[in-house]
Amino acid sequence: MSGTAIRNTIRRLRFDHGEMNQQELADRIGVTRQTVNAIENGKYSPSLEVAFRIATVFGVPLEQVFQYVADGTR
Amino acid sequence: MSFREKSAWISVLTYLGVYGYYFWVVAGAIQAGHTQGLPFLGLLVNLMVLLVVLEIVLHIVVAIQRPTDAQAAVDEREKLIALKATRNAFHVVMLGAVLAIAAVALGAPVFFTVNGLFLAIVLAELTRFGGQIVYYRLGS
Repeated sequence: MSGTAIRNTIRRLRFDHGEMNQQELADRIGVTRQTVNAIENGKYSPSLEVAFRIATVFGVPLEQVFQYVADGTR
Repeated sequence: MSFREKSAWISVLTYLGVYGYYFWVVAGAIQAGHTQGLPFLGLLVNLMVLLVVLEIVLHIVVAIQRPTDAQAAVDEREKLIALKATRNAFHVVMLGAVLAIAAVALGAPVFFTVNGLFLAIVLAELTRFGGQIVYYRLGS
């Protein structure tokens, strides 16, 4: 499956939050580590609820975690 | 690899092994021209029991290795993967059902219609578990 049109800064945010690992983030948002990895690598676009949970964990607005890239600008 | 991906691998391998043996026996009977009635019904029931036992034992072995993974609730991506794989399998079983109906309408012996329909069910299950593995490997 091709990547999504959604970019994210999860890897950077994890690093900035005490080098949080994927498993810790997964536990805090209620998904598997493999799902966090798929989101981080742009292979899976999470539901709005999971997206908000990720933003809440890092204490930042949603748009700081995810950015939509319109066609032609990817 | 997540517990559910391992579970799909277990199912693919047990289905291939157990029902592969069954259809190998059926193919032998067709070659020998023994296609009257349903001579392998007893064998099929025994193999179904074997399949269930194998699946349970192998799932327990995998769960013991990573208990927290096995106990984790299914997340949204895993649900989506299961739905996509089931959708693909539905097409396979529908095709098998249509072919079985056509075979009955054309007067095919019960040996072929029953085994053909069962083959479609097995192929649909392999499509489902195989599809799950592919989607897990691809990331979504």
